[in-house]
This record gives sequence, C-alpha cells and structure tokens, in this order.
Amino acid sequence: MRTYIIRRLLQMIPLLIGISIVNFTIMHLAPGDPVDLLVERNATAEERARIRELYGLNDPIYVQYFRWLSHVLRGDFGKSFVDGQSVSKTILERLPYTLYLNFLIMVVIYAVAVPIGIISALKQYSKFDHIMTTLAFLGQAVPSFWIGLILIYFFGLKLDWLPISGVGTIGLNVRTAGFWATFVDRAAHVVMPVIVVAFGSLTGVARYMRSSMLEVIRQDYVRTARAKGLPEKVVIVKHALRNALLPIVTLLGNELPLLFGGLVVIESIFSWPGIGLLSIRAIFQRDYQIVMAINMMGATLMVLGNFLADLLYVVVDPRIKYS
Amino acid sequence: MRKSLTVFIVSLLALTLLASACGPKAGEPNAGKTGEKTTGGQIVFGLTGNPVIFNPILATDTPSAQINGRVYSGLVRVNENMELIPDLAESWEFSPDGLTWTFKLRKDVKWHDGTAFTSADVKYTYDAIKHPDYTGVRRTDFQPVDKIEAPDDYTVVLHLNQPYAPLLSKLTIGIIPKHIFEETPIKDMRENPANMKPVGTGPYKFVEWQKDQYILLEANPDYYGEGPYIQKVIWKFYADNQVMLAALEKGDIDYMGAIPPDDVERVQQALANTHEFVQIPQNGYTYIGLKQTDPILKDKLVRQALMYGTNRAQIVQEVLKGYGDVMNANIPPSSWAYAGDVLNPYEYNPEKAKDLLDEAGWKVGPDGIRQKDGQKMHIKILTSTGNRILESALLITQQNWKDLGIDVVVEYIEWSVLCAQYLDVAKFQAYALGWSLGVDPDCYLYFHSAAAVDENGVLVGFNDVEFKNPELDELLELGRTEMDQEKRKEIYADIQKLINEELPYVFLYTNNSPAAMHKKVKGVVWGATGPLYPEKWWIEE
Repeated sequence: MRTYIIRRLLQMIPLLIGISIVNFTIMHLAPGDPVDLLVERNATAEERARIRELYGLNDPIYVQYFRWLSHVLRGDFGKSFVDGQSVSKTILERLPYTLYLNFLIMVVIYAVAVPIGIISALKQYSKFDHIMTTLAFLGQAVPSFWIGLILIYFFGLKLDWLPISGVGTIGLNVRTAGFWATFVDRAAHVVMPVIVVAFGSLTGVARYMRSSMLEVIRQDYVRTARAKGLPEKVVIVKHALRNALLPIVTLLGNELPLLFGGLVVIESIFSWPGIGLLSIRAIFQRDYQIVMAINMMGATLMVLGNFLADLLYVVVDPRIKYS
Repeated sequence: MRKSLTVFIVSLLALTLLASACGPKAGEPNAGKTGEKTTGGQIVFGLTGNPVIFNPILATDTPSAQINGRVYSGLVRVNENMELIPDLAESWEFSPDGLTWTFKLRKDVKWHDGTAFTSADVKYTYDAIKHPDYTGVRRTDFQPVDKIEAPDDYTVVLHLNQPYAPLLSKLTIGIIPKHIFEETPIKDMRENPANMKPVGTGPYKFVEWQKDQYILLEANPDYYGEGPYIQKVIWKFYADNQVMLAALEKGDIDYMGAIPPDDVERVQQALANTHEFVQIPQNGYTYIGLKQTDPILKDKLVRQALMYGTNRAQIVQEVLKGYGDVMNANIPPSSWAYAGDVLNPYEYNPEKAKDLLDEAGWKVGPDGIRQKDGQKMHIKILTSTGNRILESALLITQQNWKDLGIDVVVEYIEWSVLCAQYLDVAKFQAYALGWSLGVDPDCYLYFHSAAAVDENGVLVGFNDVEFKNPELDELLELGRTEMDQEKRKEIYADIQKLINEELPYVFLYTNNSPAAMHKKVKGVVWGATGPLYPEKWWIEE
C-alpha cells in the first residue's frame, strides 16, 4: 500500500508537467497577447512592440515556458501583466469567497439530494418520485443565469426581500453592527446564489443516490434483515442506507476540485468576487500568469481528488486492494 | 501667441455663455437656485468591469480612469466644452515659437499623506513616461517633449522639439507622487503597492477596494479647490448590465451611465420621480473603414455612393433609438472643433448612389450584382463580435448596400483575432468599428500618410485604411503646430471638409449614452463626456 501511494504521488509529477506544457502552449496559441488587449486601440504598433520586449513576450515560447517553470518550482507564480500584483496573492484574496460559496452549495446539494434520492428509491414510481424526477431535470435543463435573473427580479426588486449582489452590505461588519446583524446580512446575500447553483446541480446527486439505494434494497442481506423480522426503519437506516451511501462518499472525493472552481455565470450575475470572475477576465486579457496559476491549481486538485477517491474505495470496499 | 490666464478665463466664460445660449445637449447643471451647498452624504456609482490599476500613467481602462480622476489631479483639466482649464497649474505661457511652455503651479496643494506637492512631482511623472523602461502607453503623447525642467518648487518648464498644440490636452494626466515611487525602478512601477492604495492630490482620498465588489473614497479635507461636499463616494461593480439596471431600480446605486437603449424608456418611466435622465454624447464615433488601395474602394465615386446609399438616419432612429447623431466626418459634435454644418450631409439617397456607381463604371450585371471589367462588386466587412448595436447597424447597412447591387458580406471575428490578423497588419477590404477619441481634435495618427504602413509593411499609426492625401497631410501638420484655438478651429474645419469629400471611411454614427443620476445629487455639470466637477456636487435629501 505504501509503495502504491508513493508510486501514485511520483506519477503525478510528469503528469502535471505535461498538463502545464499543454496549457501553456494552448494559451500562447490563442491570438493576441496581454499587451494587445491591455491597450486596445490606444497605442501604435511600435509602442506595443517596445512594451512586449520589456515583458519578454518576444522570446520563443519554450524560453518563456522554462522561465515560468523555473519560477514556479521556486514557489513563485509571478506577477500579473495587467496590474503588477502577485498572482498567488490575487488568487488567495478570492479563494475564501469561492470556498465559502461552494461549500454552502455542496452542503445544500447533499442535504437535499440525499433524502430526495432515498425517498424516490423507497417509493419508486410514486407521485413523489415522478415530481422529484421532473423537478430535478427541470433544474438541469433551465439555464442558471435565467433562474438567477428571475430570482433577482422577484425577490430583489418586486418583493424587495433580498439584496441582489455582492457578499455583504458595505461598511456592515461584526464591529459596526454586531454578530447577528452581520450574520443575517451575509446570509441574505448568499441565499440566491446558493439556491440557483444547488437547484441546477441537485439532479446528479439525487439520481445517483436513488439508483444506489435501489440496488442495495434488492440485496440478499436486506431481504435477510427483513426476514429476521427487523422493523422496516432499522432495515432501511442501519442496513440499506449505510451501504447505499458508500458510492456517494467517493463521489465527494471527486468533487473536491469543484469546491475550488469558480462559477463564472453565477459570479457575474450576483457580482460575487470569486475565482470564476478572476479567471474569465484573465483569459480575456491574456493575463498568462494568472491563467496558468488557476489552471495548474485546478489540475493539481483534480489529480489529487482522483487519487483520494481511489484511496476511499479501499476504505469503503474491502474487496479492492492496491499493491 | 502669449496666452495669459485672464484672457483664457474670459474667453472661456464667453464660450460657456455662448454654449448655454445654444442649449447644450447634455443639459444644464441641476442646481437648485435656492439650495445651500451642504456637506455630507454619499453617492454610489454603478460600473461594469473592474478597475485595473490606480496609477494614471499606467492605466488604460475606463473604470480605472474614473477612480483616478477623483484621486489624482493633472496640471490641467477638461471643462464642459472639452476645453482645458487650470487644475494643479495656476497659469501657463507658451513662448512665441511654441517650443517652451512654462507652467506656474498652485502653492497650496498637499498629497493625501500630507507631503507638499511641488514641481518635482510633475517632473518625475513626465520623466517616468519618457523613460525607456516605462511599461505604459503614454509615450507617444510626450514624444515632442525633449526635456522637463523644474527651476523652482512651483514652476515647470517643458522644452519641445516642435510646436505641438495637442500636448496641452495630454497634461490632463494625473501627477503621481515622487516621494512614493522614486525608490521603485521605472520598469517595476506596475508592481508598486501604491498602485493599489493610491495617494493623490485630488478631491477624494482612497479608503478601500474590495475587488469585484466596491471601491470607497472619502472627501479630502485639504483639497485645494472648492469642495468636496459629498463625504463618501462609492463605486459598486457589476459584471452584468441587466443586474446593474436592477440595482439602479432597487436604489442600490445613484448613478448609471450607458443604459442599454432598449431599456431606457421603461427605466425612465419607472424612475421618473427619483432620477434625472441625461444623454451623454460619446467622444468618439463608429465607422466602416475602407481600404483606400482596394480595387473597388479606391474610387472616390464608389465611396461617396456608399455614403449616399447607407440609411444612417434610420440606424440612429431604430438602432440607437434616437440616442445619437449621424456622423459625416471624423470629429464628433461634442468637440469644440466640430464643423458639422459645413459638411455634405450625404442624406440617404439610393438613386444618387446608384448613379454614382454607374458613373464609376460599375454596371448591374445579369445576376443583379454590379460588375466592371468582368469583376463583381464584392465587399467584405469585418467586425468584432459582441457589440449588439454595431451588429444591428451593420444589418441595415448590408441590406442598403445589397439594394445598390453590391454583394456584401459581414464577417464577425473575435476581438483579439481581428486585431492580430487583420487590423494590426492593415490587411482587410473594409471593417466596421469605433474610435474613442482624445480631448484634442488632432487626428494625425488616423489620417496622415506617415501614420499608414511603412516600407516594411508595419502599421505606424492608426491609418490602417492607408488614406494618403498631401493636402490633408499639410493641414494635419498645421493643426498640430498652430497654438491659437480659433485658428485651429478653422484648420480642423478644413480637415473635416476634406475628409467628408474624400471619405477614408463610411462614417456611421456617434451614440449618446443615456445616463441616470439620482435627483438628490445637486450641482452636477453635464460635460461633453459625462458629469463634471464631482467635488462641487452636494446631496439634498
């Protein structure tokens, strides 16, 4: 097992380097560079060429890549071409907002989807099952920006119950307004984004839970439990549910990178200062350093998440063994 | 050629009176005559996009410029007629040959950190722009300046290598504090933390910036001019225009510029009691650039036919919902140099357009498409994706041109591709885009033959259509060297007449951008490009 873990970890190094090369190349293949997009039509070709030279953008791409790599290996993701700020600082500034939002979304999704999946399975083909299935697919099918704007219109404008953008009221914090007022304010700001994303993403987890539960309740040991004369509640909660939850747990491992990923559309609509807005803007501005850092963060988490999921299988299923 | 401050101010007053007599489009100050100016309150602006950097010599984006305009001051500033008035400079003088400009600075100015502002700061700022390692884009503006001197603490002397009138308008650029930046090498200036926590001399001090959320400024009690009265200025950022509109309706923001034309009517009705709606003319225009060397477009008759054959009035009415003006040359009505009334208006006249095309030898062929010497009249217009107004305008144009018997195709290309593969290398037949212009009417870089493509095929200025006309070259050079505004006005009228006749572009429109300001904000002066003098506004609840 130990050799397996070490081998997997070592395998990640060439994998990540490969990913970085592909990322770097694709990004530089895109037409335009930060200087073009920074100055738009305000500077002459000569002036742009001079600035490009200062930034080393005229060097061959492999020279630029190795320069980037040697900095990254020393823990330095460089400085943004656009605002000159440290890339790691810029990302760390935004990460808390993204984690905060995504964590709440995750909690809501699992808290709602798991029970829905269980009930749907236990009462297969019932009215509840049909309604939930329809709702879930509706959530998947309707674009989130549309739901977002509709919610803003009704709850923000017409009913005037909720704030429509941002993470909190300006100037309102624990120091100025006390804990509860701040808590209510922050919660009011986060309700709509969470609902919009959760509504759209419930489906997957709910369906997963439903089929997993359906599979388990047909197992011999569930029948045995029932035959023993155990009450139905105990059969479902103690015997079926625990086993049915196992694949959902591994699903969580796979979703680790999603926790860090930005939600571009939602962040745009609700003016949420997360990673999504940062990355989309960096891509449009060809701010190579930021794009690379975000991509590599995503890639590393994905690789780690997969690895973690593989390890979780061992914990969950004693039949699987790595050597 | 001496111009003293008093003469300047008198002529300025006269012009202001004149302008108000004509009824400026942007509207009058909404000051209540009885209202006492009160200190206090706050104003919230809505803005799409995120500012990039609070350093006026490095910033290139509009959001940054808005904040920088409140935090920093320049030697001069722009008034409601796009003329230049004193700011940090109290007065200035040009030597008779126009080569030595002497500025007298105000003595009562302090940086926000309490340090005294002196001529050394001005010299430092301009020297930084001229430095070879400077990574911003203002160098071309300062090319004619050879040397900057600061003979005493409150005098700055610029030595020019040629008389260059547009330079004065470039001196609106904010002065940055030497004592904060001097330790940083110019090449690394972008990385100086002061760019994120700026120290200026302007009416408002920077307090905090939460990226993608808001910026908070507070009144600078030591400001050298009148005001500021409003104590807090906040910008809230929205990534989506529709959400910003909702924020305006909800009352989250007091000001929004660039309200989408489709929504203006509805919002105006909804907020009629609380908000004032204004049309802000854009200092720029939209056009179709015509490659002057193209076998079809090199003929002046064809270019004129395209102008007559494009229903530009319909575009302004239907696409811009009336929020705009038809352009007939290259200077928009918001500029003092605008000479619209002496230009050929090229009113929509498809019959005349057809006659001109016939005259040019393009006869309608059997398939309905005009041809000449076996060549079909085919025009391909390139444009950038994502501008809905321009897309609609081009639909009308395309139909108009088809009606003339021209086979016309519009191709939508992503912005960076359009730049890299077509515009920067000046390779296209026609393209549709807009220019946003500077304060000065100088258009040398756009239409002078020396700003076209050089012998190595490199585009030197912005003359990508490669328009070359010796008479125009001469006028453009004269416009740059003449220092007297009245004489310059005549020169630029001649320039517009020539361009209106020769047509390097099909000029389309300049759009006014509808803006809404809460009525509680008093004393707003609507300038040619937006609300002016924010330090003099006050709040009346």
